[in-house]
Formats: sequence, structure tokens, C-alpha cells
Amino acid sequence: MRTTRHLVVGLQESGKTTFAAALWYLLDSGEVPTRLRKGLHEGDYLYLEEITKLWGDGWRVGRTSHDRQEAVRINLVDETSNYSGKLEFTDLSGESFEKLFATRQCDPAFVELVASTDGILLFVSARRKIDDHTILDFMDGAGQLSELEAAATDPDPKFDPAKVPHQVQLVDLLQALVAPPFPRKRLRIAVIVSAWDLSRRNTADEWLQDSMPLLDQYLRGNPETIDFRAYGVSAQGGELPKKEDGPQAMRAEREALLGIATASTRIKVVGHGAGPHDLTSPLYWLGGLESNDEPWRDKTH
Amino acid sequence: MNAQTPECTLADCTVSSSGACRFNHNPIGTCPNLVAAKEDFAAEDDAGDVPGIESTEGTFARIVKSVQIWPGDVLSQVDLNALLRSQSCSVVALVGEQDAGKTTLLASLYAQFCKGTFGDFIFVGSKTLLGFAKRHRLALMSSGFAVPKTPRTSRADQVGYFHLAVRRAGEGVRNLVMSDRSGEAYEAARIDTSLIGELTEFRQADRIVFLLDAPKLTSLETRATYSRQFKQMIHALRDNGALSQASELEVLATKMDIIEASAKSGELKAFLTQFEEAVVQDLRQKGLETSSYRICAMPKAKRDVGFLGLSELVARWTAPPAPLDLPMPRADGPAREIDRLVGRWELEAGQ
Repeated sequence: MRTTRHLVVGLQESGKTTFAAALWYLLDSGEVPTRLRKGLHEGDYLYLEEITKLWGDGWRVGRTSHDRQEAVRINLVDETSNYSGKLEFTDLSGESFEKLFATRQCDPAFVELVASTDGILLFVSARRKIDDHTILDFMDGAGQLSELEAAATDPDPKFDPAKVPHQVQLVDLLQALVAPPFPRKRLRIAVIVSAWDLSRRNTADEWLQDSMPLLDQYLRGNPETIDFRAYGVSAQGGELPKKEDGPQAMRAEREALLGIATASTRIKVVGHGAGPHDLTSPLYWLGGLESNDEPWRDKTH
Repeated sequence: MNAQTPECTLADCTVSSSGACRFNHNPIGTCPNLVAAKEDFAAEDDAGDVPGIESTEGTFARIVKSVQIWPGDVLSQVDLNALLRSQSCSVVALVGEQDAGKTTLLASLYAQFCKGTFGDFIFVGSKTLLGFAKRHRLALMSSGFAVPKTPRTSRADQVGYFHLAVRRAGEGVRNLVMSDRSGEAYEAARIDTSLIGELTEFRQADRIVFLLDAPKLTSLETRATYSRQFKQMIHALRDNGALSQASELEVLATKMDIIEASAKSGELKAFLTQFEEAVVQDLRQKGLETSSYRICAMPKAKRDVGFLGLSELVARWTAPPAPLDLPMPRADGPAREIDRLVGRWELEAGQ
């Protein structure tokens, strides 16, 4: 049995945990056809069951607590290629990555984790507002010279890493992952644009180019070291309340979602020939299982 | 999170018995003198605290020696030396007195790529992304400012280098390194030339760019002194050997939005042109390949001037060096040993 390990990367509220919940529901229920199917049911599924129950019951899936890492392990099979393997991915909290960016330090265990990773699931959310608008973007015509001179004398506030635009933080993180102390290796990255229903774009590539142009350039500009694909994913199916908000919160939206007879069809996936609800499609590609795929994992540079 | 007795590397700290840090770090886990735990963190699947930044909640957080990832900030001279040993880079030294626009230019180049491809170029990477983000932060809406500005580079800071890797479609990666040093340091070196030797950025620079503050040059109040001091700076550097390494010099007029916004913009531009031509001609006569250009890196005084001259600047600064036009040495005789032998035989036969 082959084990495929993926690292799940994304800043806060980028849809990582919802993806994990929806994936487990999809595989466990077997309601709709998927490229990869669930294999042997063995192991500890406590975390997956916790979050998948929320998903199934139509509640917003909470984010991973900042002091936790959750290892998700699922046995998978692909009958067409006789693949039988174990998918492992580590769901790290968004705060962990933001802290990594701010402190520039990590645990040796994280270095080992990255070293053993086959691919990266990089989450970005179409829900997140653009955070790198410049003041100039909103200045019409001319600024008064007196105003400009006055501004120049204002004291400079302290640098706050949390205010660095998310696309810059993500590029920095990806660059860090191919520099020491991490092993130098090629990266295969599946970019998951979550909350895809809010994206107003035809393809995830288009969204990436428009909404995170620096990240898009970085991914496209390094074909020697990075292979990537972008997928649009709506794993939740729409806006939902938190369970703590009580049964009356967003009742209409929740009822509409719960009214969908086959819950797996709440999931929407677009890009690279993925089935309309098939969350395993990015994993299939990431694991190098597509026909004529290169033996990706053996490549180093 | 595992609670355990903290141990300190300092002999006179009683934290292990009293629980009180000698330097009053609170929580204690934040004290850098604590001994790293011997436990194998990797073995703890359910330990939490990943990717390894210690939680500081509680009285004592589990201590695991953390690993430094790449800094992402401005490169030091040592970093630059290491980079130049591993990669081919175009090195540009930015020279200008206080507020000439050096840091604004650097921040603006980064900001252009944050908005998308720039000119013909695509962003490939930067070893100083964090450094760029720090310099650009006060131009973002999130800064809360009404007018964009750039943080001042302090004289206390040593020279720093910014890195950008870019590429054109179908071409290889081009690495650009640009220096940033406080204007005060250049002013000091102009006045006391014994300090010029400390300006290490000139030793590796392929191109030296003198930033000319166009509004200051053209203002009636400052033009006499500023123009004199600008030329004095170039001469001071030239006379003390700082310009000998670079293959090209550039006079780069900045803040063209302010010139364009003026009611007398035509007059100001004519004065600027005259000054640029005089400086360029003077340097060329001294055997220094020099050109002049104009930019606007932050069009805040006149929005429609746009980011004037920046894409051309990236193209110019990243252009591969022209092939050296070395004259072929004249051959003193045949290159092959057999031909030289035949030559000797012929000579002997002739005698």
C-alpha cells in the first residue's frame, strides 16, 4: 500500500477544515462517483467525525484551533489504476502559518513534516476581501502638497506582520518551504480556491490571476521548481450559521441546504476535468495518479 | 502541552527552584535562556503547537528549540556576498541624499508586481519579500493613513539589499539586487570623504544610480545648494574611487508627479533637462558611461502621471550585460605544436 502525504497550507479561514469535513463525508457516504474511493475503514476518525457531523447537519465547520494540528488519515482506492493507498494530510491552523511568517521560526517537527510531503494543498478563499489596496487606488486626481508634507512628518507606526497582504504571506511561505532548513525539492501544489460560489469567475486560474496576482505570478514563474493546478471548490454549499448560534440563525439558508436530498451534491468542484462534486480530483492529481503523469516524487533539483 | 520544570542556562538563575525568571520573563517560556526540552517533539502526534512556534499560554510552555526559516528581510552585506557566489545578479547601488526617493522606488517596484505582471516581466521570487512589505506598508489602506508614505531608512541601519527575481516569457530568470542606505550616510560621506570607504555597496555594483530629487532641484529656494551638493556627491565618490567598479552610471530624476502638478511645469522641466545634460556630459567627458532618466514611483501629487519610467527601469536594470568587445590577441605564431615544428624545419631547411 502506498502512502501519500500532503501538507495543507492556508491562512485563517481559508476553508481547510471544511474541505476535510466535506471530503470525509463524500468518501464515507459514497453517494456520488469520485475518482478515488474510500478504502479500508481502520484507524482513529475522531477529528474527522467531529467536523463531518457539523458539515452533514448543515452547520458551519469551525476552524482548527490555533494550538492544534490534526492529522487526517484516509485509506483510498482507485479501481481503474489498481491504486491502493493511504492519504495523510496535516490540517494546521491558519494562525500557525501567520505566526511562522511573523516569527520566522518553526519547530523541527514541521521541517520533517514538509520533508515527507508529496504535495501541497494550498487554500485561498474567494470570500476574503482584497487586503492590498493602496491609498493611491482611492486617491482621485491630486493630493494637496500641504497635505503630503504634513503626512511626511507623521511618526511611522510599528510594523505589524498581520497586516501584510495574504498573497505576500503565502508567496513568502512557499519560498521558505524550498529554502533551508527545508529540503530543496520540487513542489507540486493544488491551489484550492474555496467559497467558489462567491468567486464570480469562470475558472480558478482566472480568479487567482485577478485576486492574488503575486501568488499567481510566483506559481507560473517557476516552472522548473513548481507544478501547480488551481481548482475552485465550494465545499460547504453556501453561507451557514455556526452551531452555537442556535437553530434560528440563518434558518432559511440552512433548510435549503439540508433539503438537498444527496448531501454530497452540496459540494461543487471546477477545474481540470474534475467531476462536479469530486473533491478527490485535486488529490488524484497531487498524488501523481493521473495517466501519463510524471514520477513526480523522484524529482529533485 | 506538557508542564515541566523549567531549566535555565544561566548559573545564577533560580527559575528551576523558585519558578521566577531572573529577567522577569512572563510567561517564563518566552525567556531565551531556557534549556530546550530533550523530548522528541516529532514523536508527539497529538502535541499541538505546530508548526512549532511555542505557545506562551500558561506559566511555562514546553520548550522545543525552534529552527530559523529564511529571514525574508533585507539582505546584509554578508548575505549579498553569499547570493553573488551562487547566482548571477545585476547589482544596482542607489545613491541619494535624505528623502530623494530611494526607499519609495524600492517599495514601488514591489507594489507593481503585487498588482500583476509589470511591463513584460513576471515576478519569479524575492529573497526580501518581508523587507519589501515593511517598506510598502504605509502606502496600504490598512495603514490608516490618508496619504501614502514610505518609512525612513535610519542612519543606524547598515546598508541593506533588496532582491527581485523576474523573467520575460520564454527567457531565463534575471536577478536584480538593489542597495538601500540612509541618505544621511551619503551626506556624511560627501562632507567627510574618509567615510566613502565604508560604503561597501559600490564594490559590487554594476550600475550606480544617483537619485535626483527633481522638486528640490527646481525649487527656487533649494536649487542653488541642492544642485551643487548633487554634483559634489558624484565628484566625491569618483575622486575616491567609488565609481571605478560600475560599468554604468545613471542620473534618475524622481518625483516627477510634483513637477507635472506645478503650474510652471514646462519651466521646471526645462531647468531639469539642462541640469541633467550638464551632469551627463561632465561625467562622459571624464570617461564614465552615464545616462539620465525620469521616474515617478508614487504619483500622489498628480495621479495621472502614473508610475512613470518604472517598467523601463526594470528592463534596463535587469538587461544582461553587453558582450565584452575584447580585441583578439594577435597570434605570434602557429597555435598547434605540429605547425610550429614544421615551421622550425622550414627555417632550418632555409638556413
